[in-house]
Amino acid sequence: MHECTNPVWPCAMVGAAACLCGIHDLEVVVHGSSGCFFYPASLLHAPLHGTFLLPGEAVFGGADRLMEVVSPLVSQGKRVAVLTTCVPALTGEDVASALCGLGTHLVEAPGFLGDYEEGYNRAVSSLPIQVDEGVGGVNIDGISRMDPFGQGNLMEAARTLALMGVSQGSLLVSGKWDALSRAAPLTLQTNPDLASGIGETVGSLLGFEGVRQSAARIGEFHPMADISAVNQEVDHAEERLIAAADKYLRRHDPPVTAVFGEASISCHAAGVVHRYLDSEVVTVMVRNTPQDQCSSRLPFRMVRSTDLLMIKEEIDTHGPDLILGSSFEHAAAPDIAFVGITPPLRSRFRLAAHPLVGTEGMLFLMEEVLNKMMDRRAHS
Amino acid sequence: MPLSPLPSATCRNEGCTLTGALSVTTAIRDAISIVHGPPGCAHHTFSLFHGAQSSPWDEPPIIVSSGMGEREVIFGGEDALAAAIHLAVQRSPCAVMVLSTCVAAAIGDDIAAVCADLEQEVPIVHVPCGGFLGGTFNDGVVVALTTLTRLDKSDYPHPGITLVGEKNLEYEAESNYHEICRLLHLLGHHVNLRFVRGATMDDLMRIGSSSLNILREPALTPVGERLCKVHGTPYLPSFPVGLEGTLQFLRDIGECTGRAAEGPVDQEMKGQRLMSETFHDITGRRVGPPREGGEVAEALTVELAETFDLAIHETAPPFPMDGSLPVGTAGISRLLHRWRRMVRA
Repeated sequence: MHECTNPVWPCAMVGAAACLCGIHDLEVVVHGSSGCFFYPASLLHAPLHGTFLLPGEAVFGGADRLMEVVSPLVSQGKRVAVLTTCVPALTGEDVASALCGLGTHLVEAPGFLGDYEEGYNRAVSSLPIQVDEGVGGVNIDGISRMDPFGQGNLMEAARTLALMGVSQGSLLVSGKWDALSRAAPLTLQTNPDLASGIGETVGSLLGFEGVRQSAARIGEFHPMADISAVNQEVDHAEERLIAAADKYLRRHDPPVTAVFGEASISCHAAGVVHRYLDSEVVTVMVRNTPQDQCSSRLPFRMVRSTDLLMIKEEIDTHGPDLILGSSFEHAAAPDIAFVGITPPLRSRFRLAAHPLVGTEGMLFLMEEVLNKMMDRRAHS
Repeated sequence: MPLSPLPSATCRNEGCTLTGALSVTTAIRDAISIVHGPPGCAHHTFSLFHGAQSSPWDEPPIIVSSGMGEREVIFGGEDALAAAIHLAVQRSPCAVMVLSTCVAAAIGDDIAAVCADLEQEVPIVHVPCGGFLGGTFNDGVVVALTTLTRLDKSDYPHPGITLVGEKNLEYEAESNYHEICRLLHLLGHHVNLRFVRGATMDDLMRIGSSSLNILREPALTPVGERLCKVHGTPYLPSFPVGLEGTLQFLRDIGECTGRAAEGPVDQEMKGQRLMSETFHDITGRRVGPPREGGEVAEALTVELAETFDLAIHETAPPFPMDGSLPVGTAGISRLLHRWRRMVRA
């Protein structure tokens, strides 16, 4: 790592918490200070427990305190995961021994290990996920409690599978603990940056082409799957989207766009505005190292940074009239039309579960872009 | 949100020194704060500030992380800190504040030595907070304020009244400030220095020439005591809470500054009576005991119950004192408006 100004992306501990909190019947205990607890608790809107270590416990060992928090949960028959933070990791506290015999699940993801994706992936790797060759259906992958579109993406993936008449396998990571041990052999991706590596991937739901290709691949394994239903829906949706974009372009120039966020979603969003709105994408600045080759496929300048001053400089340099990103970017350039694709998305109410992937996700994204551009033009 | 900090214990849930110290150092105009630790620590706090939109000015504060990773944890993070300081200095701040996290404290980085060894054109100020290993949020506020008191230059002859430790993350921070200004104005005074909310480094250097320090809350007594001991400056322990508390605040200010307080107290009492009349319709209602705020909140509830002839009842809605106590007469008025809306809804 290196120095960074006003960092806009959380640490590995938060990523691990985001993953574990997706499991509905798992009590997650953050083993660390209250300062480390409050941030994921407020960000994830999830029921978390904390050991709220005091300095003396960090110095002389926090095992007793950990047991004080974990034991009542275990005695109530709850399944418990313990997530260690920086200081217990640094002091070499033997948390595994302290928890021995309690049947708890331990994830060591101190913040200094890296960023959010590092922690999320570490937590996924620790889970007892088993592929059961006898299980039909397709797993849905890349679901995170931190993602404001996570629930929408999950629902859209489930709807797409249902449209094909294919059952859904395990939800990675969402749902119940026991379901993890009965994962299907195939996996459909909603966010490649959070790929679990479980099962054989059939592709992602990023973009219309992603939906078509994933459906075709699923059809190879499930001959009874109704691929045509998905293709028809995608064709129809794409026609509507093109018509709307064309209508906009009859009156207005395409927006000059800057994109900020996780690598896969950012590449996807940049591709959408480029392809359907003929938008010049002046920068794609990503929070993390891409897990797939999305950068090599797209004709965009892509750089990695979580430094808000660099982000602001990038915006100032290129002067986009549309920003796709988080509320950090929105706050940095409040006069530029903004569409949220990346957490955090503050200063607006978000109640419904909107997707960013799949057919509905494509429509939602374009709807947001067009309406924000129209609003901005109306006010300028 | 069903948070479960099991089991409850005092001090356990009072946050980390880093957030408290940053709430002070980021309020110095044109200064840069460096968090020596993993980027996640700086992100947590910056995200909090961003979400709270609590900055005393328009632009968000600049917080630089030294970016400690696994390598620095193993081999030491002093080089990373030096690099972060160089980066910060390139931005030409008026000062660089260096704050330590629990990670830096646990591996034993000698931050004071790094700060002292670097010859820079701007002051490099080490704020030794140490993350949660240094205590709680309030400890962070105290250590940051105490560190900044050491910047005093005695050749700044600008006596006047100083507000010490305004809560920069408090939603009502500005309205509380205006209430204090209004009360001081009754006695012919004004605020000379806000230590620290939007102050420049030059401002901070005249902390020692203050004629009276008003602490935001009693938890800042160590800071008041230090300023009293070093500079002989008297202090009041808190912004005023309650109707009588506000009148007493005026009397105390008068006593400390040699101004007659009878007239201002009469004027404020008159204002309080007028304010009370606007709430005549709450007379006879029931109010619940406070859920937080301790003895002061309890005393305030009793005072308001007596003033407005309210019955204190366990199941009734309490006065909304979530996070902080109301300041002055204006604070009481806003509290009553919110409570009346609650009982009407």
